[in-house]
Amino acid sequence: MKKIDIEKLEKKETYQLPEHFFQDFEEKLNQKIQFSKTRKIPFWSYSVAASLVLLISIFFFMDREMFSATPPKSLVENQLKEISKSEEIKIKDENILLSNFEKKEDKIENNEIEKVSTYQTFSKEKKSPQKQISPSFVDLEVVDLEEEMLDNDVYLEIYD
Amino acid sequence: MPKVETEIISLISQIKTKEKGFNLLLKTYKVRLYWHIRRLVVQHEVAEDVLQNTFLKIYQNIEKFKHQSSLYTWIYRIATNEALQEIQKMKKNLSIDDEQMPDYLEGKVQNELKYTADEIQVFLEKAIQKLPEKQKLVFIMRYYDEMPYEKMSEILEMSVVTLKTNYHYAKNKVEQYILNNL
Repeated sequence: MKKIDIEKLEKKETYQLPEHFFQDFEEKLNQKIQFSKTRKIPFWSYSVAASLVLLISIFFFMDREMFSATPPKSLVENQLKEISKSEEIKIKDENILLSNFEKKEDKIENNEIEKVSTYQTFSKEKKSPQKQISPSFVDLEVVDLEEEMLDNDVYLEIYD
Repeated sequence: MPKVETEIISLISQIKTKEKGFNLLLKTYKVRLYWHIRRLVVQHEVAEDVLQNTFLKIYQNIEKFKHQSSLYTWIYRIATNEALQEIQKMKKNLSIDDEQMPDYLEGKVQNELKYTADEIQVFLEKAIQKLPEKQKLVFIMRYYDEMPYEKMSEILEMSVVTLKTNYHYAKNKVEQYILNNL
């Protein structure tokens, strides 16, 4: 059987190598080292960065506290809902008031046509202040109030 | 310790002469380290990158050299680690395992060799790449760099007996490969 002893072989570099590789390599490496030197972050920059982060976080927490002093969004929404509800009630009451007025008008028309005409003019004039009647009034109270107003009308008319 | 090493260390230890010391280190070891790396990774471009990273690491960490071993041993260990890390990266990028890697490197040998290379030299290089990683490392350090087992033991952190056994197995495998292909 054939035998081979590699230690008796001549040791040659058999791999290809570009010309002037080692010379070029030194230049390339020195360039890289110079580049890495210029890119080196100075020591004090870490402390500057840390203090900046601290400042930003302090401002962030202060902002949060300020926001928490104002009512939360949900509370504002609830208040708005309540306001709109009360507005609805107001409008309903106004409608009821108007309808009652109309009924009353019919009655008066049958009995005292002249008075009604004065009442009508008065009611037209007084429509806007009626809007200010509190929504808490119940319908009956509103009717009573109207009747009083009507009496007043009459009284005023007499007085005039 | 060789004279050059003493000179490099004394130059590097002073800030004013650090650059000069590093340039001397570069001139002294670049060729030896290049060939050590090249035999491990086969391709020239890869070897160049690894060599560059090795010297950059040396430059950045030269102050950490504690003189517990010779400067050459310390540098050689950095180069070996860089080359092995590069092989790991190659495996990951190519999605190949430890068993497939020798075949991959063996396939790369032919394109990297000189046209004038002897047939037996071609088979020798191919046979080296067919070896398992540890045996390849031991074989290259012993056969080409003619490094004493004690120094190898320092660099690879393996016992001298283990190194001798590994070299013996590696040498037999290489010779068998050449015989089978000649």
